[in-house]
Amino acid sequence: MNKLPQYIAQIVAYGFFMFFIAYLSSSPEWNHTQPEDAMVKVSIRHPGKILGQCRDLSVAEIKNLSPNMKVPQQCPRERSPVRLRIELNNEVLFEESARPSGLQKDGVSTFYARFDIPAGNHFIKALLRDDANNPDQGYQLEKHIEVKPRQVLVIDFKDGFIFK
Amino acid sequence: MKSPVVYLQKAGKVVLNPIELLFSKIFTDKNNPFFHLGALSFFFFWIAAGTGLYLYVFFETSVAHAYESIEYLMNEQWYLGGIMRSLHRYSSAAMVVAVTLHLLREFVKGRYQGVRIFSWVSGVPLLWLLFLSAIGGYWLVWDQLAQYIAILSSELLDWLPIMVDPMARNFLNAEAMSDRLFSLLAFLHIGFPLALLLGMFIHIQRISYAKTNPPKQLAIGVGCALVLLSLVNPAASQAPANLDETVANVGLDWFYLNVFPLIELWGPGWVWGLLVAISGLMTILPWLSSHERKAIAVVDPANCNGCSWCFADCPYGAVTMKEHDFKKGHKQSVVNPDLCIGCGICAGACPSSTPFRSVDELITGIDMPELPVKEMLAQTDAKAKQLKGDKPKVIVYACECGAPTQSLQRDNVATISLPCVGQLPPSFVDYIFRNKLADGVMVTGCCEEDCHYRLGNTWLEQRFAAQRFPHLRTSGAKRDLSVIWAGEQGAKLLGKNLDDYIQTLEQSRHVDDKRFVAGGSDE
Repeated sequence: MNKLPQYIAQIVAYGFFMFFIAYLSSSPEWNHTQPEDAMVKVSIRHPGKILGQCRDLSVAEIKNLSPNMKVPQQCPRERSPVRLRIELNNEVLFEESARPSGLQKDGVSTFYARFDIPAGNHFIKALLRDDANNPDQGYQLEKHIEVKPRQVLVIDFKDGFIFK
Repeated sequence: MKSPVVYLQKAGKVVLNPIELLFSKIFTDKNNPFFHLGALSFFFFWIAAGTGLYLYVFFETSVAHAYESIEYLMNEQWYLGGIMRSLHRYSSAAMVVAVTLHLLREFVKGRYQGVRIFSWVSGVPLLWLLFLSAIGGYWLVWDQLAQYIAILSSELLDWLPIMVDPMARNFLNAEAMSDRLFSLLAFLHIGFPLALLLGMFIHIQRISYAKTNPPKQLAIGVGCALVLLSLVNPAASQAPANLDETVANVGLDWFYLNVFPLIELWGPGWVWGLLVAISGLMTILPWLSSHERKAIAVVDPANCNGCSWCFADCPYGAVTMKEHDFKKGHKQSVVNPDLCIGCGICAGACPSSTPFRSVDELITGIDMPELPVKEMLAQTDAKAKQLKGDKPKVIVYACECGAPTQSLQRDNVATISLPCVGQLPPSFVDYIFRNKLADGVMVTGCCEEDCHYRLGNTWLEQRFAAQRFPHLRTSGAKRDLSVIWAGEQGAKLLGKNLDDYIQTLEQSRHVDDKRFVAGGSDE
């Protein structure tokens, strides 16, 4: 191959290489969410109630315990699964039951999910049940919210629902 | 029935071979980027590492100032820091391109089985480390792209039942982010590339003379292209991250972040399944199709003088030296059967592989059972006798991995095939010229820098040029010899070169005849 056409071909090849690298480094754009939508993030970590009853230890039983382990009661460790339900404008947005973490099922139950919702006014109802022995008792919050386009609304929980 | 892998390789060759041929025409064989993809990967890694060190000096590992510190480099120090940042990013992108092509090429050319299994399998975790290194880097910029991949990455990791608290809770909103997490990310973005470098070092351990630097001309070319690209189209950050707002559109790096849209489309479980399936498939690929293993080199202690030339030339470190079995104070070659690929380059290096030895039977110090040196000599003698016609007679030594030799069929041409042309001892060329068995000798094999067995053609060139033992000894043999590195698809080129060579020999014969006649008339 003659030198000049070879050099021109090399420039073209390097040009293509540069274009290929530059273009795919940031294009084409990916649409993650619609700009006119808002987002609800449900993220809750909450330990369920302990399932069993605590039992008072007898004096003899306490005596048998190591000095640093003497406690008046023995309590089971297993916790109740936690049930969470989120409704948006009276339609179920999220419903899940989370088992407690840990091999002894004595840790927290966690939830995480995100949803795109249209911006504007909405009615949200959140219910959390954390005691399998009393399935009708728990936490509930009903709220009218207004979300702007691209706003992220976080639903968390600490002694009650928190909307952030 | 053939394995589907074989059909895939055939289809791959149909696509790859013409592209390689085109690039050889444009860049020459020596600088063909396809022949240096592994070395180019190293080259791009070093650019990314060097520029990364500079960027780290100015980078602030905090949520509030990470973005600003990058913007400072891009705007206030565009002439150096800005170029460094762009080079860092573009060289990383170039690296994944080089690595992907390297992987595909080795597969298509069938260079991943047998002795090469170690390099292939050790390359699989390197892909993970490469992607983890790059994805970690994108987090640090803390722009909207970082926000997007932070959320998606954490959702992907949260699918695995390993953490009690979802990692995604760290990115719920702006107040959830902490500087400590940012320090961890910076640490990971240094740790993963270091692990990658260690892995790359391990990856090349089973081969001798690993090429980790591309040829100077190619390195300058791609280096300049990246610098020019950094000047013309600086790598820009997107809008700063704001976890209180959603990310709508992101300019995605499709080289490294292609998995993230899949997380959205398929969900994390399927993506994990895909990643594990691809990694697993790649790991077991060498065992999915049959591999015809060549007979390994055999050492004959009686003829091994311990020169260690075979030890120096073996491309896979299969030959080592030990105390000689019965010659005191001498060394002797030993072949590791697990590492020997059966190329015969060692036999070509052996000084006792010479047809000039006065022995009843030519047995060499290290030889190949499939084509022993004495068989090569017998073929040379026999085929030389069959040469006919008035035209100059030529003996061609052709590599089985190079161009097909059908185009060379002529009455005045004899072809001897070798597993690798590196198996040819230069003394055979001396033998043909000195004994006038033919008027010319042609040697042909894989393209320059692309020997199927890595170094056969390189070593043979160096032996012919007296840069490597054993040398070509007959004066003028180097000049009269024709060496064509045509490669698999160079049949036409080979045929044309043979015709040109025969013509040159014919012309020089006429010149010699005229000289002879002129000399006679003087007398």
